[in-house]
Amino acid sequence: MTAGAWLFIGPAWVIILGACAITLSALVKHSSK
Amino acid sequence: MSEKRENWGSKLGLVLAMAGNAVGLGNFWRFPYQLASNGGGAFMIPYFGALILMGIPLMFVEWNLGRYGGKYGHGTLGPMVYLQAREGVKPKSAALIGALAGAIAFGVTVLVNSYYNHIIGWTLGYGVSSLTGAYMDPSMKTVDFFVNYIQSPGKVFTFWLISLGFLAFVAMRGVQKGIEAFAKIMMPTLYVFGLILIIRVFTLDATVNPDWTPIAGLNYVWEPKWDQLTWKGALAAAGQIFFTLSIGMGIICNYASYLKHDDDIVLSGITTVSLNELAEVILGGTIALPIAYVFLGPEGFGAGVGFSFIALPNVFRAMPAGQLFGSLWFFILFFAGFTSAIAMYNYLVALIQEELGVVRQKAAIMVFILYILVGLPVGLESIINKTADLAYLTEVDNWVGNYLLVVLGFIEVCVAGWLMKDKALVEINRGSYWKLPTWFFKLFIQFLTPIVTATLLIFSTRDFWKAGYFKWVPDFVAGTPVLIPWVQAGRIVVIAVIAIGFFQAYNTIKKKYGHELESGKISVRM
Repeated sequence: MTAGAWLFIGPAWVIILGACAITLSALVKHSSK
Repeated sequence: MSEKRENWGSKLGLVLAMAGNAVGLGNFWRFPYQLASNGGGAFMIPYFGALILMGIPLMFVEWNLGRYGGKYGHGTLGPMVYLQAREGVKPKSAALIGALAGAIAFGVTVLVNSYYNHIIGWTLGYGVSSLTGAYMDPSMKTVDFFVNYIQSPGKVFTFWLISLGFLAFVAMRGVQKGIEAFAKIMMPTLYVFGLILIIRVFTLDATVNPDWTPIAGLNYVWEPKWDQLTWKGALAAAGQIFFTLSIGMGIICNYASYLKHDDDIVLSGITTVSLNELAEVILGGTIALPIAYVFLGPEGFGAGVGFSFIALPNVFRAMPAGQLFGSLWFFILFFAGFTSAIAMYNYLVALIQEELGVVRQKAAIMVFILYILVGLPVGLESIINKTADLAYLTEVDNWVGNYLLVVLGFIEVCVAGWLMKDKALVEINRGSYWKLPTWFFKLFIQFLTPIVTATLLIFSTRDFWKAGYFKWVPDFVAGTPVLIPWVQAGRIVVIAVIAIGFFQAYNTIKKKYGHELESGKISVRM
C-alpha cells in the first residue's frame, strides 16, 4: 500500500481505536464506583 | 402524563443504544461512497475537521437539550428548545424557536423513517435472500434482481411490515426492556460480524485479476487524491458528519431525555461518537469497497442503494461461502438500520404519549399505523410505475434527510451558546465524569460551531439551488415525466408534515407554559 494511503489509514485507526478504548474503559471505571 | 418517566438501566446499555441510534446505514454505504469519490484519504481532513467543529460540540448540545428537557417531562424537541431559549429571549419568542425546532424534528422522524423503514426491509429481505441463495443464480443480473424486488408487492410489503412490526414490538417494551435490551444484542453482534468480514476481506485472493487484491482496494479508497478535494467534498464531509451521528434530528435529544438529571453527558457523548466512528471509518471504510474491488475492480464502486444491493451481491456470488458472508453483510445493515429506526420510532411514541396522554403500548400502535400510511407512497412508486428511480424517496430525503438536519443543528447550537449561554455549560457539566472546559464552550459552541454550521447552510442552499432542487419540477426528475407527480406529492407531504409539526410543538409548549408566554416571565422551574 502506498505511503499516502498509510498516512491516512494509520492515524485514523489509531485515533479511533484509542478513543474507543479510553472512553469505554473510563465509562466502566466510573460506572463501577 | 400518566406514566412515570422511564430511565436507562445501565451506562453500557445507554451508550450502546445511543451508538445504535447513531450507527446506521450511513456508516456502511454512504460513508464508503463519500470517501471514495471525494478525494480518498484526503477526505479525512474535512471529515475530521467537521467532526471536531460540528459533530462533537453538537453531540454535547443535543445530550444537554434532552437531559434538561427530560427533567421537565419532555421527550420531544419543541419544549426542550423552548426551555433553553427562554433563558435568553422572551417566552413568546422562545416558543416560536421551539416550535420551529420541533417542526423539523417531527418532519425528520415521520418522513426519514417513512423510507428508512423500507430500506431496512430491503436489508432484511436481502439477508434472507443471501441465506437462501436467492440472488446467487448467475443467469439473473443483480440489477434485475433488485428491480424485481422493489417492484414486487409481495417482497416489498412482507419485509417492510416485518421490520415495522419488530420496531413496534421493541418500542412497546419500552426504554430498558425494549430499546436498551435489543441494543445490547444488536450492537455487539454488528461489531463482531464486521470483524469477521474484515478478516474475510484481507484473506481474499485476487481471483478475478491479479492486480485486484484487497490491499490494492484499500489503497484505491484511501490514497489521497488532492485534486478531488474540492469545496463540494468539504460540504459532503460536513453533511456526512450530521447524518452519521444522527444530529439535527431530535432523536439523540429524545434518548437523552431518559437520563437522570445528574447523569453523565460528556464522557457518554464522546463514547457514542467513538463507537460511531469505529463502525464508520474502520468497518465501513474497510469492508465494502475493498471487497468490491477484488471482484469488480475500480469500476465496481458505486453509490448507496446501487452499490449495496446491486454491486455487492455480485461480489457475494463470486466469493467462496458468499451466501454466509452476504448474509453477515446484510444483517449488519439490518441491525445498524434497525437501531436507528427505533430511535425515530421512539421519538414519535414519546410525542404521542406527551400530547395525548396515552400509554406507551397504545402510542406504539398509533405510530405503526402512521408509518404504514406515510410509507405507502415510498413502496408503491416502483410497484405501480414499474420504475426503479425512487424519485419520491429522493425528493423527501433531499429535504428532511439532508438540508433540514443542518438547519436544526444551527438552531440548537445558537440556543445553547447564545441564549442559554453559561447556564448551558453548567448544565452540560452537571454530573459529568469529564468536565467540558470553559474555553471549549466559548471557542466551539459559542463561536466556531455556529459559524461553520451557518457556512455549511449557505453553501448547501447554493448547491441545492444549482442542482435544481428548489424548482417545482426538480431537475433530477425532469427526464421521467411519469414520476413528476410523485416528486411534487413528496414536496407537498414534506411541507404539510412540517407545518403539522410546527403547530403540534407550539401547542405542547403553550399547554404547559402558556402563562409564561402571556406574562413574559419564567415561572416554571424544576
